[in-house]
Amino acid sequence: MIQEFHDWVHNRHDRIEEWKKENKRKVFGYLCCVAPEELIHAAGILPVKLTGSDEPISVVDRHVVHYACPYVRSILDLAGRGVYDYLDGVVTCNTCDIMSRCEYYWRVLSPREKSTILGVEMSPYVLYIKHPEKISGKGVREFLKQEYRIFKQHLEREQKIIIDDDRLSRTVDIYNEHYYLMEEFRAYRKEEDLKVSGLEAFEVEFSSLLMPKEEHNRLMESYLGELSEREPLPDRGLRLLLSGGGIDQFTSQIYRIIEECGGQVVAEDIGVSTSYFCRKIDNTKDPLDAIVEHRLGVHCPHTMTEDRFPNERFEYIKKVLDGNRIQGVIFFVPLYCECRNLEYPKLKEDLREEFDVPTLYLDNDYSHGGLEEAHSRIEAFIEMISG
Amino acid sequence: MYFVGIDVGLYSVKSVLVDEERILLSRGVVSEEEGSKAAYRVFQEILKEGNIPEDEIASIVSTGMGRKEVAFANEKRTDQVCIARGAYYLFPSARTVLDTGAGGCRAMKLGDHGKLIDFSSNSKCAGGTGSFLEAAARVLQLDVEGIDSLALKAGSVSRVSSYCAVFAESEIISNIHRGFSKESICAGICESIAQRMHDVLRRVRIEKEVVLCGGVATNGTVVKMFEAELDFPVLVPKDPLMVGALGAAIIARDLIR
Repeated sequence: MIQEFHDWVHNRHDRIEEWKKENKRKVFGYLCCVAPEELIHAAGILPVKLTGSDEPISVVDRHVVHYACPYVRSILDLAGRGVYDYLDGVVTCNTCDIMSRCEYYWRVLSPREKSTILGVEMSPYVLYIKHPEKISGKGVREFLKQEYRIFKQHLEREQKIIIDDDRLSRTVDIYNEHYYLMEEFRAYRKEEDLKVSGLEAFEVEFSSLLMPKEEHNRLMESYLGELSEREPLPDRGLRLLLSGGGIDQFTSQIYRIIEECGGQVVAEDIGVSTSYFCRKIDNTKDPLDAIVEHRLGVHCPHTMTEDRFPNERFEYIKKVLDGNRIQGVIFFVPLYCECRNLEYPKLKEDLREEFDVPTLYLDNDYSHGGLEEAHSRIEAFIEMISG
Repeated sequence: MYFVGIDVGLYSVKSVLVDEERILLSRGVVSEEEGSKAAYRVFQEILKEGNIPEDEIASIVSTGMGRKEVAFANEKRTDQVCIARGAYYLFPSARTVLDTGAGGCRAMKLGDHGKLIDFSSNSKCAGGTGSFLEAAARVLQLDVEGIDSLALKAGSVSRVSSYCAVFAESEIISNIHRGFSKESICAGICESIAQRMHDVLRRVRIEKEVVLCGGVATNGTVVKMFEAELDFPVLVPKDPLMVGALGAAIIARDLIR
């Protein structure tokens, strides 16, 4: 089972293209955890999370400054090189400054002709959703609901269908089943005698953002059955929280390094990942309202409340860590990531005070050279905690 | 019983021999051999000097960036852990340690009983390291010691404002072209290193006493300027290059205990 997850992660472009050919269905890529993939799914389109790669940057330098987030630069570079040409649509949003400009960059780097009426694209290839800068306060829900209504209309025009409440409710059920299975999976990572390595867990989570949810749910059921029978890992390793970065090929390298050095990631606060799976959509409400509420609850450093400090973020991390008995925290932050770097000093102090655990800060520029340096520091960090 | 610590650094390999009670010998070589060969040579030299048969060595711990190449070591430990251990052994009052070698600048915070509780290091830049000192010496056609002796005679300081080692080197060249004295340029180089060292140290929150070790600690002007940055004196071991190897030897001893 794990081989199937692994294969989707490591051959993601080939697998998605194969799926598209076999099923004769469209594929939309989305950039950030706040994009409403449920609406894309309800339109009968496969939503896939866009990720970078560990290959050197080649074309994006002509368009995007060097001091932009290397994660986004890497994704745009793939777009510019035609790797994402199989996509029928791209959903961008405003989770950070560079992300906000991706609508423009994508159109420039990967131009696509679309039919227009009086110069207006009827179903644009690149769609932009404005997510509220603050997720609490007056008018926030209505604002996002309106954004989603417009987005839904674009999808309806693209697919020439009506996305009614029945369609939405069917999607909500599939997604809730997914969230339920992922929650059950997360419980295994809290066990003292770990059965799942951090890297394996990462691939299970990452693959769920690439393959059809129905297929992932089906595989998860068998996989969870296998896990219940599985023997614990021979080497448990030091229990660590990984914070920062996004769910992608590059971050998977840090899991490998941590395990080589004698650690084990048992919980994450990285882009998408746990924050994405740990809540369910309220299926007693109007489906669009419920999706809005669900998306406002997805945690990301971009999401601010009316509080000046990232206290709500820390409360969320505390919930993630409940029962995890972590012994250290590694912050693995993309270079120039203002969202992560702004909250880091406060989170670091809060984590130290609340959990009395040491922290390690590593920045990364998406290069293999940087990983060697990270290896030495992680090794020293784990030795330090082990005494 | 005897115990050995071996530190395979960027330019040199250092080794320290200890017994149950005290430090017996230390030895360092600058070598262009590959790490494993140089480490074995230093190990043999220290045994010969101490007249100790190899089978009386109870345990060997290697450290430094080439620690993994030392196949004959029983254990391998990272620089941070070994330097912290060595510094605490020499100065039990130490709470913060800064090691500035050829390959990097590392700050370590010590807790109770010398336990390492936090660390930080320079990242992706040679500013504030021994490598920068060497590069600056090459530009001025001096040896590293020459920078120290000229800086001591300086009446003024030609400041180097760039954080990046490459830009700092260009700034030194432009200071030469502007006709500044070699003495003041050398003082500027030492001040730049001291400032970068201070930046790294601050990341772990400075607490007295501060121990300064590594090759750069042999440069008296840098030490003086670093103390001026801190506004209090620091503790410098007699042989600042040997602290990592000493820590490794102490850890080797603890492994057997």
